[in-house]
Amino acid sequence: MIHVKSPFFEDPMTNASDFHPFDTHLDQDRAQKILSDATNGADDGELFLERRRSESLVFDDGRLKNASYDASEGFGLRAVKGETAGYAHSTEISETALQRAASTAKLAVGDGGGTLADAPQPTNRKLYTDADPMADAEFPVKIETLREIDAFTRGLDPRVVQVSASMAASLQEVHILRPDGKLVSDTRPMTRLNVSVIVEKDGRRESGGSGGGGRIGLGGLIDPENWQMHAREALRIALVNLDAVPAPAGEMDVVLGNGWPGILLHEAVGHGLEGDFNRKGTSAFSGLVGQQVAAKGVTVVDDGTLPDRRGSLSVDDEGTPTGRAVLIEDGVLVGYMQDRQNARLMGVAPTGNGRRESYAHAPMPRMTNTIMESGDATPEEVLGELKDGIHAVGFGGGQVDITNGKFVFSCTEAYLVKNGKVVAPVKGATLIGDGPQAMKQIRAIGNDMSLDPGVGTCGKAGQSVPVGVGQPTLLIGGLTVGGAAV
Amino acid sequence: MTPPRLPQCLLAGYGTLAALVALGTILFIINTGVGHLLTFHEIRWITVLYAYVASLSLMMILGALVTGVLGCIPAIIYWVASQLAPSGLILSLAIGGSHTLLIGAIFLSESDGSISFDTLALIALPPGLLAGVVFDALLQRVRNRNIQPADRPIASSGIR
Repeated sequence: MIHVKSPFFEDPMTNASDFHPFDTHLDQDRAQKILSDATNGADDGELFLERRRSESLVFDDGRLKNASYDASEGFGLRAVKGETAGYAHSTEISETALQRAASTAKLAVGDGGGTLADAPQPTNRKLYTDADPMADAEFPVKIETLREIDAFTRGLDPRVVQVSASMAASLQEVHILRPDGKLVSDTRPMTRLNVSVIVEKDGRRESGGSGGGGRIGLGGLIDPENWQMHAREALRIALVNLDAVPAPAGEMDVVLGNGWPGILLHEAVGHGLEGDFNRKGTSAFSGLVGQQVAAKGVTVVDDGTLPDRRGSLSVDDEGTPTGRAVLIEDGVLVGYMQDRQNARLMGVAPTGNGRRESYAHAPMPRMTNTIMESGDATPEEVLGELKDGIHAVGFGGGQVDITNGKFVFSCTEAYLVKNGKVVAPVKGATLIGDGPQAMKQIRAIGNDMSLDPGVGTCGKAGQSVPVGVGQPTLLIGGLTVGGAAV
Repeated sequence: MTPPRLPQCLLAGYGTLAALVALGTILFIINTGVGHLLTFHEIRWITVLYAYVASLSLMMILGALVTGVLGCIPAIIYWVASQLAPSGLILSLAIGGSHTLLIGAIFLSESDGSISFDTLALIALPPGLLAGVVFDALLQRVRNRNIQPADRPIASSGIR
């Protein structure tokens, strides 16, 4: 990747969509000819051109600690034949580099004989602005906002000993050219603001964090009302943890809060429902379409069409318009998330889930915004059913083994419940289970589905992509809780 | 599958020699133990078997020890061959064959002529082929050990 150092100090007002590689770097007809030759005899293929600019500012320990600006551009050329994909990429967008990439990618085509798949249906839908979020505020304004966040948070409570505030914005511009000449373009903004707090009392230190973002401008994030809310929330979590006792260990019932705790759903079942592992028959959910894989009332969808959300895309990285893929309906598995290659091999339609981290990566089936829909119970009723167990409200990160669905997740805010009453906050709680079983053990679903604030990133096969999650308050029976209490 | 790297081949090659020494020693000890129970007044199949196993185990031990330095040659041959053509058990067995020749040649050069090349080859062939199988198994293990975690089907998520 090309990393350009920090021109934004000089001129933050950059033009939003000025990446036009077919005007500046390549002749479109020549590029299409090279692509057509590379995919001659293939089943599918495309030329993915990308430019990404991003900036990140971190205010830590009372001063601006890190300011970075990155700009990168390049292309990736893919030829797909059967289960084989040839992929070549370059940071140099030129006809010479394209020729070289084409000669590599076409190795996957072998003797040919494939029939080129139809191009995705075009769409005029725009789910987010194409304005450059980095240009939403002058550099001094951003620094001053971070300084204000630091001062405000420190002033909230004398126990605050450390504050870290960060702001990040990026703009990704992509053009996807298909062998038949169809060209799809998308401009994708992304912003993020985060506040982390460390508090100290009697020699004990705890931390809390809160933030948000999405495919929106920076304007809303640097609004004092927004960042003050995050500062208070980060402090609240830190203070809760200051009084937390070690988490118990063992098998117990768990109530998950609404919103961001849906990341557990993302790991527990989402990855298992991505097309690639199901096509190969190695997912925990392989071959179970039409079968009851979750408790009655559980409906899970992957929806890439929600405006402004972190996981949303107008078109995926193969040019397919994103959709609302119903994965589990009333507990019955009805479908998987598909990119074009896996959809073709499985004989189904692509669902707009072909995603990649950048031009340097081949696309694969990935989640967008994965959501469990609301049930009938009120959150109070769901909590009321928890007699002894854990009420997990906040999560850090987690991981899953896709082949068997076994997941592990760490809680950042959780409470111990005994005899139906909250006894104390707990720290160090880890939730362990396997996705298919956990889905069958869901005993109550709240009617308060909400989406996360826009903070999630998902990693798979070395590629990270932004994702969204959402779920209502949920009671799951018999999860294994790992904790330090004896 | 990408061809193996030279250090991987060398590691598997020396592992093979170590395995031959270990197996030969076990075989020799067992054979010696059984030898006390035998009488050698007349040639019977059991005494022939005893003599054969004794020679075999000695060849495995001494052959592997003597070819300790030269033992890298089959591994290097394997590496060169695997860069040109797909590697696998067949190629490993061929390498085992070269082990056989190596071991046999060294023993022949040390013998006083009382043992024929045919007999020597007959004795050296099993450890040679065994070496090929062990080499292949060890190479697979060495290569699997180098698979990075990113190749495992683990997905993760978190706040970023």
